[in-house]
Formats: sequence, structure tokens, C-alpha cells
Amino acid sequence: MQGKALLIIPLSTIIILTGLCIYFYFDPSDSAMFPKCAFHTLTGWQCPGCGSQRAIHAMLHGNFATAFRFNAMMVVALPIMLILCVGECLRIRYPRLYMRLNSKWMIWSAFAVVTGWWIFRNLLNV
Amino acid sequence: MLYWANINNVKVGPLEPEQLASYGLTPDTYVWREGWQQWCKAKFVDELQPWLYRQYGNSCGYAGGSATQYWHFDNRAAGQEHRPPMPSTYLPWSLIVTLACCMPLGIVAIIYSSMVESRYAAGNYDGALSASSQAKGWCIAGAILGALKYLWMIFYFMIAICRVKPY
Repeated sequence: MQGKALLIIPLSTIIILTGLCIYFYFDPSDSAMFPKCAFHTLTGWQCPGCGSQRAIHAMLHGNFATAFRFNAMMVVALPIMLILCVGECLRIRYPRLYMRLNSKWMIWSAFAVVTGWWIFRNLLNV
Repeated sequence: MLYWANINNVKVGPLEPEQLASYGLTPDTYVWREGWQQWCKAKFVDELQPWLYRQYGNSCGYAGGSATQYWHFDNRAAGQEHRPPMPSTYLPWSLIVTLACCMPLGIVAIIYSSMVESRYAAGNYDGALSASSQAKGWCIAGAILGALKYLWMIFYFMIAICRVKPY
């Protein structure tokens, strides 16, 4: 392990575990502690990520249906984002895998899904 | 183009391809020329294909064809052999930034991610690198804005701790 990884890996593990504990024990729906979405506060519209905190809380308690109602894209995108993160870590070792994961198709569909979901949820109010 | 070659653990060069062939070039001989980042087997170097073909025919392990066909066939393999890996697209980070509610910055980062991919595919490595650092910049900007919101969470905890009466 290199010097940089020695610092980053334990630090990010601590931050992620603390975050998971906070989202497990406190419900973002009825706690003032959680930050509000700036876009939603300013415009009254939903952004693509609105509801993801409540969705994480629901998912940590195993309520995937509830999580899907709060932010459907979050639930669907989470495994994909995990795979992409793994690809990012293996970029130097497996460049071909990285190119598969970051193909033109993949990036533009991520873009289309995010913007499409943003418009869709505001039109249908979900 | 002048090549250096590792023939029986002796470095020879600089040599023209035809001189190289007379030194006993095999498909698995490692060769290098100026500008390459690493040594590469002769069978992956398009310019050496006609010489290898003359000596070894089809025995290098490729499906048949003339020397010129060989050459074209191997252009791709040779290109990939020397290419540095694709610069990071920062796609997962830009998606995380988007979903953590700083969406305009995340979407800009996704557009730069696609530019990394298209420039790298077009062979423009320097352009891909600069698009990569742009994507990184937008991700960091989004992450800082996102983290500012989470400062409120830490602040809230501190207030809660201060309110706990010690007696």
C-alpha cells in the first residue's frame, strides 16, 4: 500500500461507517439535523437527488419499497455506482475493463437517466 | 524509424528494421524506439511485420495473409499495447455529486466524463487528460458545496452536546 492509500482508505472507511450509523439511527423525515436540498428550498422543484437521504434510511432498515418511493433513481443507481467505483479503483490494472465501464454508451445513458429523471419527477410529482 | 532490440539479453541499436532482421529478430524479441514508454514485442509493431513475415511466415500465431494485411491487422494491437490507460472519467464521483443534491455541477462533470472518453477514443490523449482534470474540478467543487451543507449536521451535534447539562 502506498502512502496516499494508507491515509485515504482508513479515513474514508471511518467517514462512511459514521455516515451509515447516523442514517440508520436517525430518520431524515423527522429530524432537523439533516441538510436540506438547496435547489428544492430555492425553487420548490425536486432535484434528481431529492429524497436520497430518506431513501438511504429506509434501505438501511430493509424497506426497499419505501426507499423506491422516496427516490427511485437512488435505489437503482446504487449498485451501478458501486460497480463504477470498483472500476475506478482497478483503472490502471485493468484498463480494458475500465474502458468497458466508461464507454460512450454508459456515460451518455447516465446523463440521459439523470436529466430524464429530473424532468420526469417534477412533471409527475414523484 | 530506428529501433533498439534486446537480442539474447544484449541491447543492440539503433538499427533500421532490415538491419534488425539480420540480427535475428523473432516475433517475441523486445524492441524499443524513441518516444515509446516501454519495450514491446516485435510481433506487435506494425513496421516490423513485413520483416517478420518474410522470415517466419504465418508462424507468429496470426491467421494468414500477406505482409501488408498483417500490417493493418496489427495496427490496432500495436496501438493498444503502447497506449497509457484511459484517464479517469470521474463518472462515479460525478454521479455521487449529482445525487448528493448539487446537481448542476454533477451534470457538468458527467459531460466532461464523456469528453474524456471520446477524446481518448480519438487518440487525443492530452485532450482526454485535460477533460479528466476538468471533470475532477467540477466533482471537487460539487463535493465542497455538498460538504458545506453537512457542516450543519456537525453544528447541530455540537449544539445538542452543549445543551446537555453536566449536573
